[in-house]
Amino acid sequence: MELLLIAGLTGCAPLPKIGPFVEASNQLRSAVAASGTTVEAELRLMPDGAASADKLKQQWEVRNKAFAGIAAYANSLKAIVDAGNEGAASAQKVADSVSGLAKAAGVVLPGTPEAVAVVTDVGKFIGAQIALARGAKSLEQAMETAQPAVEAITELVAADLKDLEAIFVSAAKANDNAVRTSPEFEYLLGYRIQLVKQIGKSDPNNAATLDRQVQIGQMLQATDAWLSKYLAKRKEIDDRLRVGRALIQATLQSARDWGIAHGNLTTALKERRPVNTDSLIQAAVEIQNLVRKVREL
Amino acid sequence: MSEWSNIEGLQGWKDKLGELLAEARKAAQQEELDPRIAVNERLMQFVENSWPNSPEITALDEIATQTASALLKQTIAERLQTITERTGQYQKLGKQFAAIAKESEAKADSIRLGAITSFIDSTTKLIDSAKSLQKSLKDDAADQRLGEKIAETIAAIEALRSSVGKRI
Repeated sequence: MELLLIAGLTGCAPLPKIGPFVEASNQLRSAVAASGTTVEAELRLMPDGAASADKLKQQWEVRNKAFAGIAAYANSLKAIVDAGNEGAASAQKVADSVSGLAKAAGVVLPGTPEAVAVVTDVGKFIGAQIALARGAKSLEQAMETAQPAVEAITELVAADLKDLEAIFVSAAKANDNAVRTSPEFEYLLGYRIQLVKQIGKSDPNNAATLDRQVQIGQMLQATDAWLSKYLAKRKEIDDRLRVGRALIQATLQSARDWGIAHGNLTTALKERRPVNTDSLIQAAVEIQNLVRKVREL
Repeated sequence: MSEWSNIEGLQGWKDKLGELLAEARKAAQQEELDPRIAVNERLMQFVENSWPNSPEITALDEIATQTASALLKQTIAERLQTITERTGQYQKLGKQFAAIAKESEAKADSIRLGAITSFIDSTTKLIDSAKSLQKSLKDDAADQRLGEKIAETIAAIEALRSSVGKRI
């Protein structure tokens, strides 16, 4: 009776489309994990970076676990929505079970087969309405309970990702410094800079120094193969830095969007109005692409 | 004209390094990343531009390289420390999400009438088994008593099913 009243009062509005939120939660989990492993990998490449990499790995595992909890939470919301939307099927399942039991026990269900079918249809309809009402109530309760934790974790991860980015940039710069100061390149780089300086100081219209200018040009050209190798090594680091920072930034944005979406969904449920979370799908696709790019590097 | 164009001789490079070390000290006292990265870049450019590669200049390069490295390592250590300080909060929040998830799954199961369906299905199996047992009984008095008890049990289960059905 109480449930029927709930069904009546709520008007049995359809439950919100929770799929994009679940997808965004799963992508956020994977983006947070990928951000951590990206920075850990950069630290491992750094001279004497292994200890820092180990420490980051250890700390980040706790984040990964928390975000696995978030993914489980989002999936449980979907389970409520699905259960609410499948009320008729659930009622049918119970009806089938009851009829199976009656048969096993040798009990004859009262009424003609047509009457039983009508009763079952009515039961399915009422079951569907009750499931919708219970689904809406359970969803609202769960999301309201989780909202403070969602706000807290959104703030925490935003602060973490800023620190993570600073670590990443510092590690990448340290790796870049190692290339710039490596014995393989350091001397030749200084030598090349001096050649360029000499060219800059010479007067191209002075015939007396023409031979010297040509000679410097040839000496400069002789360093080209080495220069290409040097630039390629630095580009490798720069590419990692660029894509990794893009991933961290996208994760940061995605965490903010996710937190806002949770708040919007909670408010919409309370106010019994529809909410659109489709924009989360675009962010999830972007994250997927960035994670793939980072893995390809 | 770059920052390095007019520096001449060992003293010129020494003075320049002194200026950069002061900048590095200032950056190390600030929390922001950008000033540190900017000084790092200038220290590296110092190493690249300082010339000739005499032992004295190489010694200055070494100081510049070590300073840049120390600045970056300090940044990494400080940021790792703040990340570590937040870990406890994640543990707490992770547990909260797991608890809400568990509760929500249970609610979903309840909405799906999972417990009721599962109860009825198990009961059906129990009745089937009880009936098989009943059929396998002999005609002696002991088995007859057992058969009566099984029949009573089946009737009781059906009554229980009926009560459960009314609660749906």
